[in-house]
Amino acid sequence: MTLGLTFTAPLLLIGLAAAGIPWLLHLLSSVRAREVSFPTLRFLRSSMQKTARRRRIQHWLLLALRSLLLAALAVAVAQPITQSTGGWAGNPRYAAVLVVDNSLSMTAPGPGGSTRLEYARGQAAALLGGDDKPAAAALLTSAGPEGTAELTGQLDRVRGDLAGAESSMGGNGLAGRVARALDMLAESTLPARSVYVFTDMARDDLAELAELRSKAAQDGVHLFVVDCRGPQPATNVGVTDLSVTGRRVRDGSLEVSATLANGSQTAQNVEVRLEVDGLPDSPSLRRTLTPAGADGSIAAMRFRVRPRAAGPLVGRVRIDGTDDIPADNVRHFAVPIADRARALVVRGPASPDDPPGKDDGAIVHWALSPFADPARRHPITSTLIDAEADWLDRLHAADAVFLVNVPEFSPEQASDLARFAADGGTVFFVPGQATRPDAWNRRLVEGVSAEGGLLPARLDEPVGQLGPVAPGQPITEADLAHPYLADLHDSPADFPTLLVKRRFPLEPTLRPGRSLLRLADGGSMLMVKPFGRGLVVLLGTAASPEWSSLTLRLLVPLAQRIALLAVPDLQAPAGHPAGTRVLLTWPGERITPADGKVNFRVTVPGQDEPETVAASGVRDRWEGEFARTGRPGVYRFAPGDNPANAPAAFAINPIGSESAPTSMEPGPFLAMLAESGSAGRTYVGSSLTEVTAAARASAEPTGWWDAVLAVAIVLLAVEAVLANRHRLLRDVVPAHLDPARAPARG
Amino acid sequence: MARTPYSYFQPDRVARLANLGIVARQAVEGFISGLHRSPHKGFSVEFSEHREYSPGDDVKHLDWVAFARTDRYYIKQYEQETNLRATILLDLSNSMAFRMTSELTKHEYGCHLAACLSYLMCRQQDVVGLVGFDRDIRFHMPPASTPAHLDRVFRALERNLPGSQTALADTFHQLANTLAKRGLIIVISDLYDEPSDVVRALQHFVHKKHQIIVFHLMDPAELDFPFKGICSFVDMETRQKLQVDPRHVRQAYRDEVRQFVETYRKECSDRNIEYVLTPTDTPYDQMLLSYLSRRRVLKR
Repeated sequence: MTLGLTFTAPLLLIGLAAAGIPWLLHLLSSVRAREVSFPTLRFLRSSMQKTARRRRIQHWLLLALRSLLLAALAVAVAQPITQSTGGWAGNPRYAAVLVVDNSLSMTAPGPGGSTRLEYARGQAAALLGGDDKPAAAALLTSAGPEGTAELTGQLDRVRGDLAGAESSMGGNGLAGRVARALDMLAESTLPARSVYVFTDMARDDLAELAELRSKAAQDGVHLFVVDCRGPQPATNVGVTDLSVTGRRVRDGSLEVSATLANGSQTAQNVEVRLEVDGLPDSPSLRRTLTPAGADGSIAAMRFRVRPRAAGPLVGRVRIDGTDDIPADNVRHFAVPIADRARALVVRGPASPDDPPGKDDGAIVHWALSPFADPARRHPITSTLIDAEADWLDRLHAADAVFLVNVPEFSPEQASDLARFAADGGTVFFVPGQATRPDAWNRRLVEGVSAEGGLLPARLDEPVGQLGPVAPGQPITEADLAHPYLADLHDSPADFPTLLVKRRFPLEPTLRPGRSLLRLADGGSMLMVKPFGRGLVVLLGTAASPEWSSLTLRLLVPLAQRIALLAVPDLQAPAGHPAGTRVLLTWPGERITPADGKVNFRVTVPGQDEPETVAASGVRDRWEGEFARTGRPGVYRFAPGDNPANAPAAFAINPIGSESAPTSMEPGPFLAMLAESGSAGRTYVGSSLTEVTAAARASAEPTGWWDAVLAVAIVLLAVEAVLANRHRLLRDVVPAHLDPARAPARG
Repeated sequence: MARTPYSYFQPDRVARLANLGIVARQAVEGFISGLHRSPHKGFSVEFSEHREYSPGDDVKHLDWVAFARTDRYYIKQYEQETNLRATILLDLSNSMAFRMTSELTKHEYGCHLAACLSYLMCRQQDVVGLVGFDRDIRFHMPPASTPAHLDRVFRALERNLPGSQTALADTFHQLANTLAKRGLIIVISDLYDEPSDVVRALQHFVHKKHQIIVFHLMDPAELDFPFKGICSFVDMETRQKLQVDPRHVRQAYRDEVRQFVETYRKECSDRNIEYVLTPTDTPYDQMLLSYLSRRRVLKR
C-alpha cells in the first residue's frame, strides 16, 4: 500500500557516500596554524579549559552541517518524488476508522463461500495486521454497539472488537457511523486520515453515505469502500413492516398487517402465517411477489386477531421457506391488551311498562353490551343502574359513566363526577325527557368551580317537536378527525344523514368544550371537553329515537368508542426498530416499593440472564428506558422478582430496508460522488488490495528536488558563515610576531 | 627632536616633564635636600636659582621682584631640601620583548621610562640607581646623581636586552635585602609571575620602609587579544606552543587578564603601593606627565 518516497534517478544516490568526506578529512587532515610569539600562555591555557565544551560542540556541528550539505546535494540530484493524493500516500502516521457493515444483509453469502460479514472482518483484519497498518484505529459497526468507539494505538484491542462483531440490527446505519468516524478523525492530530467502509453496498446506505462526501472532502479524509457482496446477488424476501390496529381490549378486534418485500432479482412465492402466543392463529396466506423494483414486489398481508385475555398480546408474522437472509423472515409484535371496558349506565326514571325502545338508559346499555351473557366475547362490560339508586359507590369500578335522562344531580353527585373525570374517567351526559336543564346547569356548571364547570356547555330548555311528521334539522358538520368519530366509516361521504327533531340548545360556558357535531343553524349537538385527566362528553339531544335519528346510526358506535377509549394505555407501538431506546412503563398503583426504588427486570430473547433497568416514578406510573435492543424478538419485563407481577412485553424487529438489499454498483456510486467533485478521495473495490490500487492509480507524483536543493543552499550558507567568519576579518597579526621571521634579539 | 647619543633619552620629551619632580608620599631620609618633606624640622632653606614658571607650579614660590624687573614669571628654587634616593628595577625578561601594534616593545618602553625618570631625578639633585633583572639580577648600579652616573645609566639601558625567563618574587626579595637605606623603588615590569608571590615580595620592600611605584607595562594586544585565525602561540620565555582559535577564547582571555590586573591593583592598594597600569601604546611622556601631575596634587 506504500506510496512513499521514490527517485527518478536512484543510481545517483550513490552520491550519498560523499556525506562521509568531511569525517574522512577530519580524521586524516591536520590544521597548519601559523606561529605567533606571545609573552605568556598562562591566560590562554586557562581560557582554553573554560571554553573547551563550547568549542567542541561548534566543531561537531560544523562537521554535521558539511555532511548534511553533501547528502542533500546527492538526494537533490537523484530527484526525489512522492505520490500523494492530498495526504494519503502510505503515510505510516495515519489514523483509520474501520466501519464494518454488520446489518442483516451482511449475513448473505459473500466472496469465497463465507458470509459477507466474515469477508468484511477478514479484510479489516488484513488492514490492521499488514505492513501498512495505521498508527491509530477505531472500529465502528453499523448496527448494535458502536465497537471501538475511540481512536487508539492499541491495534490488538481493535482486532479483538473486530473478531467479536456479529450481525446486528438498528443503530444509526452505515451513513450515521461514517459521520461519527469523520467526527472522530477531526479530533485526530495525525497527518493523514482515512475511513475504510466494509459493506455490501446496499443502495439505501450508500445513498445516505454519498451525502457525507462533501464533509469528508473538506476534512481531507480519504474514503475506501470495500465491496463485500461477492459474485452472486442475494435471494431474499422479508417482512419489512408490521402494524396492529383495532381496539386493544379483551375480546376486541385487532388487525395485524404485515408488509412483505422481495429483494431478489427473481419472482418469489411466499407463504405467510400469523402466530399468537407461539401457536398458529389463522390459516397461512400465499402470495407471489415480482422481482425487486417491479410493481408487485411489495405486498401487504392482513390477519384478524381477537385477544382472549387482558395482558400482553405477543405474536409474530413468519414467512415459511428459506432464503439468504433468514433473520428478516419473522417480524414480532407485542401489544398491551386491557381488560374489557367497564361502563356504568345511570338511567333516569322510566316506567317498567315502557318498551325498551322508550327507555333511554336501556338503549345506551344495549348499545354498549348487546350480549346479555357476560361470558360472550365482547370488549365492553356494561352495568345499568337507576339514578335514584346509590350509584356513586360504583364509580371506582368504571372506566366510563353514562348519565342518561337523569333529572338532576345532588351536590355530592356533581362533586364525585368531577373527581371521577379529573382522575381520568370519561363522563358522557345524555339528557332526556326527564332532564331539568336549570338543575343540570346549577349543579354541573355553577356547582363545579374547576375547569369552568363540569359540562362542556350549558343546557337550555328543549326546543323542537316530537312525532312522525315533526320537522328536523340535519347534522351538517362533523369533526371526523376526533378519535370518537374518526374512521367510523371508510370515507367522510359515508357519514350518515342525521336529523334532529327535538334538542337541548347548548350554550357556551366560560371554558366551553369542542364541538364535534353541528346542526345546520350552527348549534352544537355533541361537545367534548377535557377535565383533569379525563373527558366530559355532552349530547345535545336525548337517546330516544323519537328525538333524533342519531340513536341507531351514531349513538351505538359512539357509545362503544367512548367506552373503549376510556381504557388507558392502549396506544403503545406494536414493535420497535432494533437499536432504539424503548420506554418501559408500569402502572404505579400496582406496586408500592418499600424503599422507594423500583427496578425492571427485562428478559432478552436468546439471553439467559435478565437485564436490570432502574425505574423512576412519573405521576401515577413507573418509567425506565431500555437501550440494549440489538436482538430481534419479544422482550418481557416486570418490576422486581414478585411472580404476581405478570410481565409486560415489547417487540424488537429489524429495520425494514435491510430486507431489500439491492446493491449499488461501484461505477454509478462513483459517478454520484463525481457530481460533487469529491470522488477523487473515494476509492471503491472488491478488496483491500483493489482499493489501495485505485488510490495508487489516482496518485500524482510530486517532485521534491528543488526543495532539497534549497535546503542544500541554506546548509551551504550556514556552513560558510560558521566556518569562515574569522576569515572575513582582516588578519591583524603582524609579521614580527612570527618566531621564524622575527629578528633575533639580545 | 634634539639629537643625543642615547637611544632611550629624548630631551624634547623630557623637557615637558622638567618642572615636575618626583614627590615622595612619605618622608625619606637623605643627604641632599629636595622637594620632599623632611623629617628634620627647622632645617634652613636657601635660595638656589630661578626657573621659569610652568602651569601647575605653586604660586607662593613666584619671585615677584623678578617679575617686576623682567615682566616674566620665575619660580624661586631652594637647595636645602631633603634628597630622594630612588632605585629603578627594570624587568629584562623575554616577555618584555613583545610588541604587536605599538611602536615600542615593552622593554623599549621601559627603557625610555627609566631614562626619563633617571634624568628628572638627577636634575633635581635626587640620587637614582638602576637594577636590571630577569631570572637573576643582571646588573646593579647604586644610586648617584652625577652626570657621569646618568651617562652610565643610559648606556646600561642600551646594552642590556631581554634574554631570559622571569623570577620576579625571588629577585625582589633579594633586592629588598640588598637595599639598606629606605627610598623610592620604581618597578618597571610586565609582572608575569604569580601575583601573590610578587605582591609578597613587594611587601618586603614596604617592610624596609621603602616607597614603591609599580609601572605595569602591557601591550594593548595583551589586553585585547585581537588575533584572528587559528594560531600556534609560542611562549616567549619557555618556547612552549599552544594552538588556539582566538575566536573561541577571546572573551575568556580578556576576563583572565582583567582579573590578573585587578588582582595587582587591589593587592598594591592594600599595601600602600602605587600601581600604574601602563599600556605601551600610550606615549611614555604623556603617561609620566599625567602621573607626576597626580603626585603633585597628592603632595599638597
